[in-house]
Amino acid sequence: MSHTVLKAKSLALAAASAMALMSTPALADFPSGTITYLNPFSPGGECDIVQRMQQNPMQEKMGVDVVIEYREGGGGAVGWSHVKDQPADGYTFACFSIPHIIAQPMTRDAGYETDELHVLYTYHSTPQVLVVRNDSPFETLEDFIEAAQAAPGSITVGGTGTASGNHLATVRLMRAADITVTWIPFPGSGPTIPALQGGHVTALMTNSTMAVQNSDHFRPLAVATEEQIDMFPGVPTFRELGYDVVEAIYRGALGPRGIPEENIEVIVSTLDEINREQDERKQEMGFQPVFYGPDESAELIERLKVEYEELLGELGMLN
Amino acid sequence: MIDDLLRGLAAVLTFDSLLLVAIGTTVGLFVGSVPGLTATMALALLVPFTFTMDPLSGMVLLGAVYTSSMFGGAFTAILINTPGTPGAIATTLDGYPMAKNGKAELAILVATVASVVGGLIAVIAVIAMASPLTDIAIRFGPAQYFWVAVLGLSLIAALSTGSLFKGLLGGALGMLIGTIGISPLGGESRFLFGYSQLQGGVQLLVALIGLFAIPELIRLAVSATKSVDVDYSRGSESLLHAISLTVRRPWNVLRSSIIGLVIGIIPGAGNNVAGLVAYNEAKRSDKNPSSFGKGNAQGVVASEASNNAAVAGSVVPLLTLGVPGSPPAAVMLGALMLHGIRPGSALFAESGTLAYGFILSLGVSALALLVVGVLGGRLICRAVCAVPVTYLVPGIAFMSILGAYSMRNSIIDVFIMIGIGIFAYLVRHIGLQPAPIALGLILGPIAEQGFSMSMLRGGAVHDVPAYALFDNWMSWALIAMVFVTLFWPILQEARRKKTEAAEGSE
Amino acid sequence: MARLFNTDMIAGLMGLVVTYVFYAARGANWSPLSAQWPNAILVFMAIVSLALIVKAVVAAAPDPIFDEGNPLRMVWAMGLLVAWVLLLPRLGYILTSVLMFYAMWFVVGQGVLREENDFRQFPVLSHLRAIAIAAALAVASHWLFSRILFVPLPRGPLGW
Repeated sequence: MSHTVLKAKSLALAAASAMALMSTPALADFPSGTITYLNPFSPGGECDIVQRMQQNPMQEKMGVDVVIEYREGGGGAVGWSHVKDQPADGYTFACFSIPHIIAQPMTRDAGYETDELHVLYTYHSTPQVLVVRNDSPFETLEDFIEAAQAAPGSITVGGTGTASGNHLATVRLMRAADITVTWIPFPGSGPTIPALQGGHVTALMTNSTMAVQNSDHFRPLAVATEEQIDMFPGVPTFRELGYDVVEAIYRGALGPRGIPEENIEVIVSTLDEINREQDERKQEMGFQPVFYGPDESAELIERLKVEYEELLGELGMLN
Repeated sequence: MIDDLLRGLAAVLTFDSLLLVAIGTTVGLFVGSVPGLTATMALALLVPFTFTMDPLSGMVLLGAVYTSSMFGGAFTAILINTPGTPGAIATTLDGYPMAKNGKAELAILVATVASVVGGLIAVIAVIAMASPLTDIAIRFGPAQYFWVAVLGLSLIAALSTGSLFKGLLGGALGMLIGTIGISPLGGESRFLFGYSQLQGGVQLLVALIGLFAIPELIRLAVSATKSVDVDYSRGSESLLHAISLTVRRPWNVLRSSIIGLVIGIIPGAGNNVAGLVAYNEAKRSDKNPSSFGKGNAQGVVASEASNNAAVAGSVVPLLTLGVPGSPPAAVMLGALMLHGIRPGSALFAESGTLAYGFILSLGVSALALLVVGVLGGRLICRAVCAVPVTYLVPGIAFMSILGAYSMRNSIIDVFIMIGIGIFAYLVRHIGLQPAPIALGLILGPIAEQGFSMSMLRGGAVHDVPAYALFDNWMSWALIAMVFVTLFWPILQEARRKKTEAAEGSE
Repeated sequence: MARLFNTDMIAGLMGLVVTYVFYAARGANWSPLSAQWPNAILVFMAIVSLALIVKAVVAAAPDPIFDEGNPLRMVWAMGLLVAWVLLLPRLGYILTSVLMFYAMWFVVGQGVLREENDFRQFPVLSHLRAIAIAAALAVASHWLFSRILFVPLPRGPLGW
């Protein structure tokens, strides 16, 4: 009796290991276990909102549990340096945002390098928008720039943090228009809204999401995109007005280096499908969907690396 | 507006909504009373469930969890001297001494009644005056944030039980711990001591567990006798007694609720500071201030009434400005956006039923606390008191470690928690109390941001940057409050000595 | 027999040490935006520490410290807490929890007996009960956190 059990067991073991051997190179059955979709920011942030939107459709399409894990801190650096060290099997990836993953390793020891992370897919951007209060005397970007030229440094522009997308867009504007404004960094995007409403800053360089959501109080002066976008009808781009300012925060998913090609394909195609389905809804919220696979994302990063290195170098912020 | 209000009321008083309130308050109470579980975590997990609900039902559920988890923090504050939420720090000051005096159950009942009253007063005020209250939030600029933080820090002087200098040293230590990590405005990393994991800084809740729970645990292990003890000889405490204790000083409840409401409106600073400010005011205006800190029920009333009023207050900027005042509120904002609802002043015009319904549901949740709090509170109180100290000590250690870990899934946080805990235990013997350290940790970053941003703004609009700290009447009002807080105890002491001398010479 | 110490002096010296440690750890090229605030705190802290030392010299007021209970158990409790964190990533959540819970139960339990001048040992049954309770707590919380709250807890060599 016990012999037969043993035999059956060893047979089963042998069969299992044979199957394991066979399936390893093919990996056709990815995913077969729980996927961890890490959020390096706090709950309620823009990564969180998008990840929560994606969670259910991902579970349906991939047929496995997708768990959102929070590892916040250091402006995302804590989460990304964790992901970098995870097994490269495709079961762990994280929401990312640019410029963070490029600028952080440039300005300090962030615990990871940009190249240690593999950007799998980029799903949207939030273009930068210069906004003032509805009752502001600045009707156009020209008004704003003239005022800044008349009294250098007297105009305050608020936004999130230092070396952030908001900040870099402001620096680009200062360079392009040859003006000086006072940059006032806020600890997060939330507090910038009452700050502009209460007149504690003259203007905000902010994300398109913020500008859309507060459109009843704020007037956008110009958008930092290449062409005008639908969510701000009639609002000119900086380029149209003669200032070369193009800046956006890009978000997407990244994993550690070395995930098998097949698994990447599964993740990318799933995210792409969901992103196309949610296109319209995301635009209503102020996100500008993009559909960059791994190669296009890598190109984007390489291009921005050069630009940021120059900008940050001018600011004297390179590590 | 009345139309929307009534429609909101009708929407909230349906069976489904009330059921959601009941579920939400129960979940919240559990989350709030276990040191390791946070309201933010619970809300984030519940958000996907709200996808299938209509927006109001979803918000009712989230609001109920938020309200009652803030309240649940009082239980641990009273029973094991550990504020389950930052707002409950002031509750430990008198709640735990009450428990030591055998009045744990009474303290919990008083906390419940005060929370309910505070919550209701605030909800009524928010409905009546949403737009003037929004004005307060908007007027608060960097300079005012700085002065609010200074006001909070001046509480150290008023609340420090032993030496003033030791209180200040504790506050400075807390502020120093608060600078660890990425500098919020400059973006540079500070005081990492070679560990890039420290970039995330010291999480407030991790530090609170370390500051309060660990010293208590070590103390219990060292003395090997129980400190919380319940006096069953008088039978169980009646709710009526608790109500009469609370209502006996109507001015205390009312003042604390107003303080909570107004401070709660200020995004970011509100919920954590409200309880302490109200506590200090209660102590200052009492005839016998020295009875505070030794188990005066009025201290518990002040703290709990105001921190629950602050919950309703924090909803004002959330709904009218789309600015979340606290991490849990940020999750609720995300949930609103996922439902395609845009917060802002238009919210009340476009979806008035939702806005008023949600605010009203916070009132209903506050009322539900009365039931859940009295039943659950008694249960938790008896359960904790029935656990022998041999199990209580490893139990607290277990919860603390699990809690610190789960905050960010980080073993580093557990190290930080234990390290701070052992440090806090040791320095308590030389007279450094945990409350000033916690205060410094909470207020340091707020003060820094307010100060740095004021100076930047001052550089742009004034000749001398520092003028930006004084160019607004609200700043001056706050400065006046700082002076009152600092010098009132000295005046009081002087007056007491004078009367004593007068009596002695008779 | 309580030992008396001048706690003002100890607190002041400790304050100076902490000030120095953080002073030495400041970055060499922080921008003013990052440096101003820590500098202000360090100056404030040094002043308060010096004030405490002056007070200790001028008006010495010794207090008893570490006069409660048994100092040996203090060392035990701290040691066990540290061991708990150190073992957590190595042995995994469940094993560490059970082990350390039991150890702490034992230390405190012995303490309670000693405080009552009772020099008996625990019966075997109560050891088993403590382990059973610890195991139940660990397994239940593991289930709650990994399945309901989706918090992955540290895994041990056996995967749990």
